[in-house]
This record gives sequence, structure tokens and C-alpha cells, in this order.
Amino acid sequence: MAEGNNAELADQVQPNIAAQYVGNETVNATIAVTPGPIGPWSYITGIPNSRLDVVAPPPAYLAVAGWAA
Amino acid sequence: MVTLVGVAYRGKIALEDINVEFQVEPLESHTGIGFGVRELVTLKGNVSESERIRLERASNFCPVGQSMSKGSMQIVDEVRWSSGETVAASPVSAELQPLAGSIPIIPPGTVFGMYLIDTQEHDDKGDMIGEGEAKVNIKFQNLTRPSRSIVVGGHSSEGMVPGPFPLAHSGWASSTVATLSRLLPFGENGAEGLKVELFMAAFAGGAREAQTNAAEGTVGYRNVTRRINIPGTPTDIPLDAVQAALLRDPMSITYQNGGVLLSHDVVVA
Repeated sequence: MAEGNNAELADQVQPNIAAQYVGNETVNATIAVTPGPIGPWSYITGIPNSRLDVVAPPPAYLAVAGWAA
Repeated sequence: MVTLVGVAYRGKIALEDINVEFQVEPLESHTGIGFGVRELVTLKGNVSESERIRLERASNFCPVGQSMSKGSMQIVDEVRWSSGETVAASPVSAELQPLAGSIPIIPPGTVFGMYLIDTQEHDDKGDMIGEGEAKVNIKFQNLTRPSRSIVVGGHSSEGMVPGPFPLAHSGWASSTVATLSRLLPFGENGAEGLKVELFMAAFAGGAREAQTNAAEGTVGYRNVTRRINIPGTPTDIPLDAVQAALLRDPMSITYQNGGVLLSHDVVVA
């Protein structure tokens, strides 16, 4: 069974998670953007490229870390 | 990992400790996923073969595993340009071809999760009320050297760490940004202003229902709206270009089609 109606979701004022490009092949993701009792938590991920070392794991690694946890 | 801890507790399985290792491999396949994982779960304790099989099934159907390998996320996309226009971006035409261009290569590495048993929480009667947290070590091949990172996730009443489910989705949102930043024809300011937002309703049954689904091998479908905020106008970056670029995103392909799990073993040490 599916949980949550997409029309209702679109009416949410704030997202649960937001990810933003912040330059230099880097993305900043924030969990629990909505004001509440817990969070927010922010994570930097790096976009692999041929010019420079990334400062953090690529995004897929963050997803797999969630899978591991 | 914390899903298995909860399933073991409710099933009265004498699980004393647990760890999980994922080998991450870059892939070149016709599906375009871009990477695959090999999962090894190691159980410690007096676990019988029937109990191991039960935990193996639960491992196959944990909420994050379902989203990445069983298509449990029902995704609706919308695109919002900084010029103000917002349009629905789902469904995508079957004729639409993936956008050309090079996307980030996912380097090889490992993700190793260790259970932090001391973070398990109990009430006054001794019943477990929080499965606790896991420390996850990430190792990956960077451009000039191996690199390492640590992430902590799990279920704790104090909210010290995010849950595994949102942690995984933050990786999906980041992957979407990474792919679009590389493929779309941004102007002189580059991808500055590119943002992806996820809107998800809370899972009605909470962690307990998710663990019941895992124990029973049931897929629990979840709706999510993904809003893609694009700097510029629909003339600069048309909708079909955004949709075509999304067809190249490795994490989005994984969420839609599964196929990322190359092998899965659950053993008792």
C-alpha cells in the first residue's frame, strides 16, 4: 500500500530533504529541513571529476551508507 | 542494520552483534545504473539456520533496500525554474531519449557499518524502545588518493542522528543534483541555484511497521514528490532536457528499476 498522497505532498510548505549545488563539484544535502524536534543534519558529497579530489564521498556512497545503517 | 536489530528483538532471536559490508563497484551496463553493490551481512550470536533465513529475508526487505532494489518509491517529479514557472515532470514520454554528455563516474570503494550496541534504548521494564545507531565507515578511490569518511545513522530518541531512510534519500537527492549539474546547459553562473527538494509523508506505521514488512518480505510503497529547482527559464533549459537528464542519473535509475544489488549474503560468524 502506498503511503501519502502526492497532491498532499505537493502542498507541504517545506521539504523533508533538500540538496543544493554549492560549487567546486560539491553538493550540500540537508535532512529534516522542516522545523521540528530533531535535525537538521547536513551532509556534503563530492561529484567525481577529472580535475580535483572531491572533499567528500560521492552521493551514491551516502545512499549506501543509509542502506548499511 | 537497525531494521534487523528490531526484527531480531521482536522475533526473540539471540542476535548479539551485527555488521554489514557493501563493496561498491562501477558498472558499465545497458541500464546505465553506473554502479553495483555486493552486500555481506555478518550476524553474531546463537542464531539458528531458520532464524538466519528470517533475518536474510528482512535484510532483503529493509526500507532502504526496498527503495534501492525493489522500486518501492513512487516518484512524482516537478520542475520549478527561478523565473517562476512550475510544471509537472511526470510521467516521462516513453520516446524520450537520455540526454547525452558525460556524467560523474562512481569510483570503487567500500561501505562498512558497525552496530553501536551501547546506543540501544530500553524502557523501565527493559523493553527495547530504540534500536540504536550504526557507525558507517566509507572508503572510496579519490582522484589522487584513497579517501575515507564516517557517517552515523539509526534510531535514537534524542534525535542525535538521522534515520537510515532519510540518510539514503539525501544521497539520492544529491545524486540528482550532481547529474543535472553536469548535463544541463547552465549559463555563465554554472549550476549555482540548482536545488532538489524531496517531500515525503511520514510512514504511518513508523519503524515498527517497516520492520514487520521486512520480516514478512512485504514491499511497503512510499510516495515522494521530487521538486527540481532550475536556475534560469524554460527557454534556457527546457523541461524535456531536464527529464532526459534525469534518465541518466544513477541513483534515480536504481530507484526506478532496481538492479543495483549484485550479490547478497547473510552469514553467522
